[in-house]
Amino acid sequence: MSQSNASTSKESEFDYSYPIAVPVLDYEIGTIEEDFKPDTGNKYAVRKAVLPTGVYAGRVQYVARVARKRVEKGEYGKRVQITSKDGLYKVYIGANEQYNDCTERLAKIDRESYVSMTANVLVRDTDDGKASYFVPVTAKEVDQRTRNRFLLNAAEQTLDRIEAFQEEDNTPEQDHAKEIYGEDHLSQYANAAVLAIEQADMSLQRNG
Amino acid sequence: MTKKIAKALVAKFESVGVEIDEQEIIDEIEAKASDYRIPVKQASIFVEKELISKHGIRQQAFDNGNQGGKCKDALIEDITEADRWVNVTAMVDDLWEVYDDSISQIGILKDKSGRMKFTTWKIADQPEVVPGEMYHFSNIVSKHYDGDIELKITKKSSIRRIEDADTPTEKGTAEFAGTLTDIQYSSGLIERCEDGECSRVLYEGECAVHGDVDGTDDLRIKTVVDNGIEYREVTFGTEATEDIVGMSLNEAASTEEDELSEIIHSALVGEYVELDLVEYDTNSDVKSYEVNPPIDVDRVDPLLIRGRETRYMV
Repeated sequence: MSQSNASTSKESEFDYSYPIAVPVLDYEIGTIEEDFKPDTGNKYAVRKAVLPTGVYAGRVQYVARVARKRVEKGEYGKRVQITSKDGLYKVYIGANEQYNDCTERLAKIDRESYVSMTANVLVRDTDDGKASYFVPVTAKEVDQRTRNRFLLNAAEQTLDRIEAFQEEDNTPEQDHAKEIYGEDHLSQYANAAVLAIEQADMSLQRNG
Repeated sequence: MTKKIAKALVAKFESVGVEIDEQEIIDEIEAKASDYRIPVKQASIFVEKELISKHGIRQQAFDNGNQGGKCKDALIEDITEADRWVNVTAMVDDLWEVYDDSISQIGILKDKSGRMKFTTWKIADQPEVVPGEMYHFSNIVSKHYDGDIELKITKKSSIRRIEDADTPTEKGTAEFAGTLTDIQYSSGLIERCEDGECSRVLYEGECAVHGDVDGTDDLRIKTVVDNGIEYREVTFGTEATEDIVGMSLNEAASTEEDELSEIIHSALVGEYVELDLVEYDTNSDVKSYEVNPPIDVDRVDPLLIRGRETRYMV
């Protein structure tokens, strides 16, 4: 049941509205600099993040380790801010009242736990430049094995995307990523993939 | 008398998909009757004309809407102008968060010809629709909104769910693995039609074919499984659902809906699943499954070597 050919999303082949949730490592999530609404004449289309590895993601999958958590009371419900740190890069997770069930679940998750999420990644202009915001849509506490599998799968698909990016004929998604992130940026994502695999490997050796 | 006239006007405007506050009409009529020293009935005619103009309703459509004219079946792509009363058979493609207390549901309908936004106001008092399901919408009206045409479901509309409109065509079997990212509506304890061989799922106690019937309890979980490249809409049947929730159908039937829903969510959402499927045109049934199976450690070293090579190459 291996996964392959991650160079383009197959979303358009499907009839309706589930955006594919692309497994993405922390480093790549943190460096996303552009999102957009597809110009398809459908103003209700889902916003997509332009991944530096050359794929559009309507949603992403991510399994975080909760390093810090802050719960606030919002106007219509809770807001939860989580920082996930996995060795290389911090991801700032902001759950809000829009996805109340998900936010309530995150509010109950303890520090150091692993949490599996699907999320929208949105990009905003800040005083310090572009910043990506990770807004969870679903969340659930999971075990170390799920976390390790995520690291391996996300790393594998990251490598698939990098290798597809290296091919001669680029897709429009890859050209778009090149415009934003340049042409010499891929090694850092390959490095992130290697670190993720090493992290999963160490954990598997330690825990079996 | 003003109240009675206002009530009638509210109903007339509702019939063309425009919701108007009764008190607002009463105030307008009374103001006009007082300002122009005319009878209430005459003032109400002025108010009606003003409201027709204010809401951009064509007089002919307003009159048609109030004659109970027979609606025509329409494809979404053919609905290009406002104030058309139509019947549409469509799938609920998406539902959005509702931020306006007066709106019941807002989302997108899709048929083979296209997609269109729809709005159901609370005052219309209609059953809620479910994403991914097919419905026959009778007597709904097109309206201009924000530069686009959208469909409004009013008190005069009716909504009938079409379950298994066509016998699904089995396409074969397949393996699929990925993260279970969503539990769809109409999961958990459901009721099926008891009429003959029919086993359609009842919605609001009604079978799409046999109407108001007795139902038999059943369990199922409708899900979305996503491997990052593609997804499958996958249904776990009775036995698999009993296994997942850790209780029999009878036990589930006496469990609170929210509790059952939480058990299902906790067991599946965000988990990696490996599935053997029977595939149909648009969805699949689970033959066998494994949640969070052991990791194949033999994949780690080759993947690490590949990663290091790729890092070196780029």
